[in-house]
Amino acid sequence: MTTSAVLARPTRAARVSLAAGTTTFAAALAGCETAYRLAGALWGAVCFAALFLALVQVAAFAGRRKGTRPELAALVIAASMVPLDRLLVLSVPAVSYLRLYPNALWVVPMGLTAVYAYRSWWLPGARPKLVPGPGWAPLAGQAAMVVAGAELGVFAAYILPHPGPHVLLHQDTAKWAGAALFALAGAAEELAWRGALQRVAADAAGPLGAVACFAASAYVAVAWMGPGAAVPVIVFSGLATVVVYRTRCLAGAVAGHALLNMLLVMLR
Amino acid sequence: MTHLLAAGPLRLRDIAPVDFVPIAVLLVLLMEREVIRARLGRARTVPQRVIDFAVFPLMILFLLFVGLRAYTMLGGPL
Repeated sequence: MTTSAVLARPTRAARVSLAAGTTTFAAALAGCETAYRLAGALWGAVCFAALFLALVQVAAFAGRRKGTRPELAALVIAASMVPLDRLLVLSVPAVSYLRLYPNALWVVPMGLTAVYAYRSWWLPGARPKLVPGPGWAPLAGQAAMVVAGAELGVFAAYILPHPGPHVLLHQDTAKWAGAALFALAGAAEELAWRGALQRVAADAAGPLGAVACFAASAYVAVAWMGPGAAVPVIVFSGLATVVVYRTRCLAGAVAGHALLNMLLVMLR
Repeated sequence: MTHLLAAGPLRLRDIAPVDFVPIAVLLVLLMEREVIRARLGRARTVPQRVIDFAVFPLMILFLLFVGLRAYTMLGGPL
């Protein structure tokens, strides 16, 4: 039986240092995002790359230094997925073949990193299951998440204006590749944020860690999709945070987010 | 050699500067990985796992980038 780091070391100093670290991290992300908005994609990518490198150095240093809490390195490297996500979105080569979403290739490295992080046994915390447990109650909870994702996807497609012709009117098959990658982005993000980052953050800071993880995923959604399109995704992320934290099961969150993204891109 | 480079066989001039940012980060991390491995040996310690975790997505992005360049140079439409 594993003991939570919160229960093992409930010191006030540790909580204060976690809060200070989270605030510094948020301020650094805000600075990078400001650089991107003011100076363009190149300088934004440079800033996110510098932040990513700095976090890797801090994690490696924390792992090397004796007397440091062992879960600190894992927490920092899991948090580094946030600037990594932004770096990939800004610097991935655009492929015009993917008509609905030419920059969708960032999903490939981010998705594989999410799988890598989810399966990393050295990251602390209880790993959420991908399949719900036996019985109707766990299955019903996950099914409710999928239904919520579908409803929010339809809602998002309804509220977002789309200037061009309807997506379903395109006669080529290339649109399906872009749409599939867009849907995969939702699944990859749930695996990264709820499957890896939330597990490490909740182990280090309890429910506050889960809240911080939700804030990180909300920030990524707003930065990626814009504030209007991100609202349904943020609502779904909030639901997924609670459900995964309570049930320790990822199936509904992954399937629901993929469905949300798919409906968002196909129905508008 | 000058003539060959002027012909732009790799079409490096067509690449946006932002494409080089993750490659630069990857180079830094690979160098650091070698330094750590030389110092700590082949046994996987926490710093090595951390560096491997950071190298993994950037290596995939690099391979995607190289694959796309090779595909377009061979005449594939994108």
